[in-house]
Amino acid sequence: MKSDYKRSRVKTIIVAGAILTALSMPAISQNSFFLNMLIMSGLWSILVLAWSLIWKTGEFSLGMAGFWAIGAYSSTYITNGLHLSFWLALPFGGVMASIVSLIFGPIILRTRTLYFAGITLAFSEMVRLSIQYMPKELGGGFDLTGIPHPYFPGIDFVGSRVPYYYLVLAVLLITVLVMWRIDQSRVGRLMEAVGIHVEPLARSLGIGGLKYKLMGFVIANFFAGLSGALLAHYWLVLYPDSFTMHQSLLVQVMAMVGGANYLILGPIIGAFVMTISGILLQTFLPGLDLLFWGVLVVLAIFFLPHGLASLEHGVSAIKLPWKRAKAVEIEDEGELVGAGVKE
Amino acid sequence: MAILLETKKLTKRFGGLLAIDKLEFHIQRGEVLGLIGPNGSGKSTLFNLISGFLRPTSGRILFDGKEITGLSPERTSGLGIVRSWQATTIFGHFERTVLENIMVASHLRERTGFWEALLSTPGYRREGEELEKEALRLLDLMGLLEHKDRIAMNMPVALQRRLAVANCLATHPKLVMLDEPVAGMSMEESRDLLQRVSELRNQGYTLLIVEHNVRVAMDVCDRMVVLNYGRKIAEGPPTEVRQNKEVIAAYLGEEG
Repeated sequence: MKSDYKRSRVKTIIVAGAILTALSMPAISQNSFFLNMLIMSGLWSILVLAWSLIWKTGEFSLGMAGFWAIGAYSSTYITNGLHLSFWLALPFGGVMASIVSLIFGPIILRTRTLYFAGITLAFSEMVRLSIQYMPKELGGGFDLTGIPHPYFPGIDFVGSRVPYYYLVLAVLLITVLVMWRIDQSRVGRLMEAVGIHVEPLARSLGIGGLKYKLMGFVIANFFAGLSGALLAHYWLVLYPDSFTMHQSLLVQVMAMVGGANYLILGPIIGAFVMTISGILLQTFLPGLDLLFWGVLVVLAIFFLPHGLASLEHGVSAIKLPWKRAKAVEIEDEGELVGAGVKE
Repeated sequence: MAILLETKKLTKRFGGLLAIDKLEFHIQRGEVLGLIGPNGSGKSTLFNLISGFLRPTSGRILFDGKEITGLSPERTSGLGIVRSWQATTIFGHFERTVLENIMVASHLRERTGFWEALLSTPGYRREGEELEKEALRLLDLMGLLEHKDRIAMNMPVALQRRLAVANCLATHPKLVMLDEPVAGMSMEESRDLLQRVSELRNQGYTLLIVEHNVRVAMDVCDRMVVLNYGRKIAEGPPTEVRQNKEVIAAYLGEEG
């Protein structure tokens, strides 16, 4: 009991420390390259957090880019097309992504495992192409330029990246808070209970399979949409090509490197490591980022099958594949010897 | 005794195979009914039909006087029919403990939803405490109280099966259907579990048990129904069924 209490206090201190560090980042440096890395990491973190909520319900979504795009383009339609405030456009991006997932979710969620991955991938590509061929008046098109900066009296969003950094941080913290509450609550347990292997068991106990999968799907895509809306008003230009399968796959890679079974820590670590390393490599060693990521994924799978987040249990989380093989051999020998003695 | 569940000319056809053939049987309130039959006789199909995982080709199922033919599993469990499984008996993933298993299984009695959970309202927390109290009572009933904090997946099969029964009870069911609850367990363990299960009758539960091990099943059941090739070949108290020639030919004779 005492060690539990101690551990939870250590956790509180670490979380508080992380938030304080995040808050004081602009005080360390206001370099726009540096802030860009952090902002992009934050946006990716929200997206990967959303993915991991769908993963919690036992499904593997390859369609995050589609919902990212829905958030980006629908919010841009509010600011660029209707000339309304950004503060309306931001939640609208999330709500639109939710509405779309509420409409198509019951169809998509009829599938499981690989078929789910396939159908979400196809859906995401359909979203991208629909946006591409949508008339400009409805907010589509090959490229969208002239997206306005957010406006808030007294805060300069144009001249500095610091306000935007805090905006992204605020949305990320809200996302984390919601995910944490879901993880702690009975609702979160029920979402896990409709996972692949145990879904029939859950249904026979009256836990609606579709209900909880859809709940997870809609909430997750709401945050994907929010992240998309933030992305649009950060880049200020949008191309449908920014939302391809590559982005969807990158989400899984981030989750895998960070630790997919850690609902909050894994996605954030994965997103930060991948985004920052990607931006640094693109800048200093252009062309090598994909190679580096490939190596990173292989290393993670080999040595840290549960992701970087599993390092919270100390270095013992590092698995050495060759060592494990040896241990098995010895065990087998032992059994053989034992059997011989018995005879 | 009043009839709790009955089937009328229930038929299920898989392509050319007649899995259940115009089956008529009933379960009385408060009894322990054993369902036995050789492999492939349609026991599991019957389970799936009643619990709603399969739709019957024709025929009707009545529960508590109401038509439940073709209702989804979520609906039938809401009405009070809950079943266990042969393979996946408990929530073993995510290192769930025994107590957490029951908390998940008591979902049907939860009144608060997503928003209350998100905001952690007093009502939500009070309900959590009530559910936990109830869960502990059920664990005590199944003799699992001392194991409440163990990780469910790491327990021996015998304890996992007990937990599976407790999971079913957590929904406050009217009819508990157990699909081979003692498969793969030793004779003593089987007897112990079935003893506990049959005692549930005194708590007001009605049970339907599919069992392979006829000897064990005969000890605890009030009445038995024997299936063969989707048809009911015998029905009655264990002592009678034991003497039935057709049953001996189809089942006991082979075993023995």
